[in-house]
Amino acid sequence: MDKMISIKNLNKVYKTGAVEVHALKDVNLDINYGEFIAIMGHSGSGKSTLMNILGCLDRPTSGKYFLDGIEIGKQSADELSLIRNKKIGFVFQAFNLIPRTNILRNVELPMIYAKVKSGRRRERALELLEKVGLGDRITHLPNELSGGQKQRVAIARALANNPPIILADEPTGNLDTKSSEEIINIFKALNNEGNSIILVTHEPDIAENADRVIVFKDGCIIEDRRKGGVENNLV
Amino acid sequence: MLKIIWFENIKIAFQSILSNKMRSLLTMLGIIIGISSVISIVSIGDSMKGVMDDLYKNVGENRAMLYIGNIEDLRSTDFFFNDDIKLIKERFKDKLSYICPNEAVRSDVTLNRKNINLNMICVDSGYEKVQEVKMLYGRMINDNDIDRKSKVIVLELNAAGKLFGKGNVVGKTIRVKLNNSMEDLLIVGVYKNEQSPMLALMQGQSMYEDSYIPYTMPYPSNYGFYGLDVFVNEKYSISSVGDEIISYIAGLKNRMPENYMYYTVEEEQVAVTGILGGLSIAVAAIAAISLLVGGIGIMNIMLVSVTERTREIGIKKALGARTKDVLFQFLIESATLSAIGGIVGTITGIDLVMIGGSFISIPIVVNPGSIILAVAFSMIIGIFFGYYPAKKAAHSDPIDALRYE
Repeated sequence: MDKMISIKNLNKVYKTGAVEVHALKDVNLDINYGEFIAIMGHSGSGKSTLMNILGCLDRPTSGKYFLDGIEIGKQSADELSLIRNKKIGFVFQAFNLIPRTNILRNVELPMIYAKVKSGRRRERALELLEKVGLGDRITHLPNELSGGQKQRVAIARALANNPPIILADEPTGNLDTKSSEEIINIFKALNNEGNSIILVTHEPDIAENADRVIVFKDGCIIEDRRKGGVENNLV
Repeated sequence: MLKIIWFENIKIAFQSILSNKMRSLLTMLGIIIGISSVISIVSIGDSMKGVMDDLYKNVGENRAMLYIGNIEDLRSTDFFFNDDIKLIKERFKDKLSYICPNEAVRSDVTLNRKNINLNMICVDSGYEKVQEVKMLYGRMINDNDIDRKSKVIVLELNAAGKLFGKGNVVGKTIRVKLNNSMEDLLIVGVYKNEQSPMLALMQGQSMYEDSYIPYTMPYPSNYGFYGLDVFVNEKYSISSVGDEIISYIAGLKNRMPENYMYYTVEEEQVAVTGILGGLSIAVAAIAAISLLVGGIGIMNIMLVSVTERTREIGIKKALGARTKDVLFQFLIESATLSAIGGIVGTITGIDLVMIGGSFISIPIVVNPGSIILAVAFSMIIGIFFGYYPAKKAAHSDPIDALRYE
């Protein structure tokens, strides 16, 4: 089977003035379609840098990153926009909904950039909001919703263009335990439907929900464990 | 395909303008003031030009004055005599539609204890064919009056009203002083002077009431006139006919052409219209400086807006917005902002001129071209001054933008 993500000898070096920060060191990583992966690590471990590169928001300094067979390092900024639009659904810690814009339009936004016709766009946005349990709040503004509800809108938005990967960066970081559970359950359900999910977190209990946990320290992978079979065997 | 994004961007622009109403209004104020001053100044210029055109039409656009110029050793033969007029008439019968000594006689008229100052304009027959005379009663001066030196007069309606208290006074007589003797003149017609109120204002409140008399009547047959009033046939160039007449007269009088002067209304009209046009362009240009200030205001507010929405831009880029999409979003926003300012400014400007115009009751001319120009120009200002902030937004790095608090 083709790999969804394939990273080979990836390095990322930031220059801030005279200081060079080696954020990722010779990282090698393969991710298959349909996996639910948790990436863990302390702040400064390089997990956010990897997330930015995986999300095509940033380019590696050296090494190769193939996403769906496309080599990301060679794409122009606008091509990267297109790839983000079609292949990646982002869920952020700070929700990052567009303020003063109702949640229906927030969910429609990726489809606007994908040039989906307005009727089809609305239909899809309604369907997704229904799916995350917010079908009755489509005209609400983001600041009228609770944290958990905002994150559900963000998930609906991430799914808009039906991307192969969902990248979630500390999606429960700003949520209480109950909302966190709800969000994790949505991710699990999505994974069962066949979506690939990459979840960045520093909370072990959240990471436990994934089939595979990758731990970063000082820019290197120090642990890559699969525990997928166990749960399945229990059922 | 591109159309979808256009429409969405315009929607986003309106949303953003509406969600910051006070700020948007203050931003637009510069453009509103600039556009409204340019529009009102241009309209005032155009309206004045309209008034001037009216004025010249009233005098007669193809009218010219012929008179004795600078002659040091003036001889009695240098004046224009009836024989000269006949010769010119004959010689230029195709080119001139009217020729008559340029004379007017003024006299007090008292009737039934009412007194007016009468200005009796000397005309030839056929004057009404070259210059509009609105006859209300009776008739205009005719060939018969000219040949027989008839003691007749055609009164203006105001004069008739003041003397007789009514308009139809055909058949009555008035006593006027002509060449130091009192003469009784028979009123054969009454006409109405049609003038716009502005024209009357510009010409000054005349102390005199107008009337027409046959030019042959007050003067002896051998009288030498100082000037001639001519109308040139529309088919001919007024200035070249002038040159021909002057050289012909100079030939008759054994003088140089420089000794006779030819003055056309057209010349003056061109000069005055030119000055007026130049003046209004100059003032409009000064007013346009406020548009520059308005444009800088837009740039300032767009920069603030871009900084404020750094995070929003980051999100949009992460979700797939291309550089162009962000650039257009902000460009359309600044263009919309300034175009609305332009439209409001245009309406304000027109209103100002209308209100001003109604006070001095001149017909207001608003050039539709200047409206289109004003709105288009304000949009261009929006795009020009919005470009830098939009570019800044479009090229921002999504990671930095997302991290921005």
